[in-house]
Amino acid sequence: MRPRTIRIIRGTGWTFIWLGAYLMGFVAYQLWFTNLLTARDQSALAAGLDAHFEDVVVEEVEWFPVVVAGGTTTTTVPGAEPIPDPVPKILFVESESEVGEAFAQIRIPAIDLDVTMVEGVRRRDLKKGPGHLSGSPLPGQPGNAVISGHRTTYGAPFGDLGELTAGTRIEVETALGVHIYEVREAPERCRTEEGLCVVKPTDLWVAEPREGAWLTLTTCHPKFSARRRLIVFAELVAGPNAEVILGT
Amino acid sequence: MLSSIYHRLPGPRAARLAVLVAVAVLILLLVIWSYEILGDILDSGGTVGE
Repeated sequence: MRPRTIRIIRGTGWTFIWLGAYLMGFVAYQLWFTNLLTARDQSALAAGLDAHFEDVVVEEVEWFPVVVAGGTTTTTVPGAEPIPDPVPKILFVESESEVGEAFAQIRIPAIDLDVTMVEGVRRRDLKKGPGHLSGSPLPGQPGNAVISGHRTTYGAPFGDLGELTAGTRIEVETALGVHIYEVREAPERCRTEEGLCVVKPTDLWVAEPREGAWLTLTTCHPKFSARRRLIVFAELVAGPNAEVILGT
Repeated sequence: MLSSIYHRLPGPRAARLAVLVAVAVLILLLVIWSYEILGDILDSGGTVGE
């Protein structure tokens, strides 16, 4: 064999060896090292959460739910002529946290989830834990609180989100107290044969305001792909503001 | 690769070693950065409309 041919074969061999090492490193980094990073961040966030709860300013504000003809309490019925409820209700409202800071604890006993959530959904925020979409209401407030989280990397907090079924209990602890949500069935417009709600990443309707108080959890779908989003909708059933919001 | 760079570098041994360490760190940072970018294909965090 000519020396040039040997050099080419050797170079090709080394290229594949380096490529293999790079890919093995990638898998190890994503599936193992990112978990270590998140575990470290979670420890720090959890340790600071109680102090954060003490710093949060809680206010009682007058809340005017809108009563539409027919008696339904809502704020989002399009085309309807809303009549303001003349009697304001008192709602507990907490101040928002800085982006990137811990603000709440989410617990889903059915899938052994107990993690600290951060404010914001930037890449660096979600590395620490599930993140709250800034601009959407905080959990426990009227409207649609949107929380996003990793499914396979960075601790995979929402790794088992697909196992949640209607009626599953979700607890979110904020400075106000513990807000209890119950998972609801996937809406028809996004329901798959397995009963999951799967949408495109551009389907913004899942984050739109809703009547009542909702918690919307979003993550990647299927596992090991960011092509689609798995959505879980849960409705507030108990908590510091539940009676006021639900009108019970 | 790094050893061939080391042997081609001029200057005293300590300086060559320092350059070599700097190159290795730079490569490592580039590799980790590429892992972060590629990682979005596996799991981007599940945000909607971001």
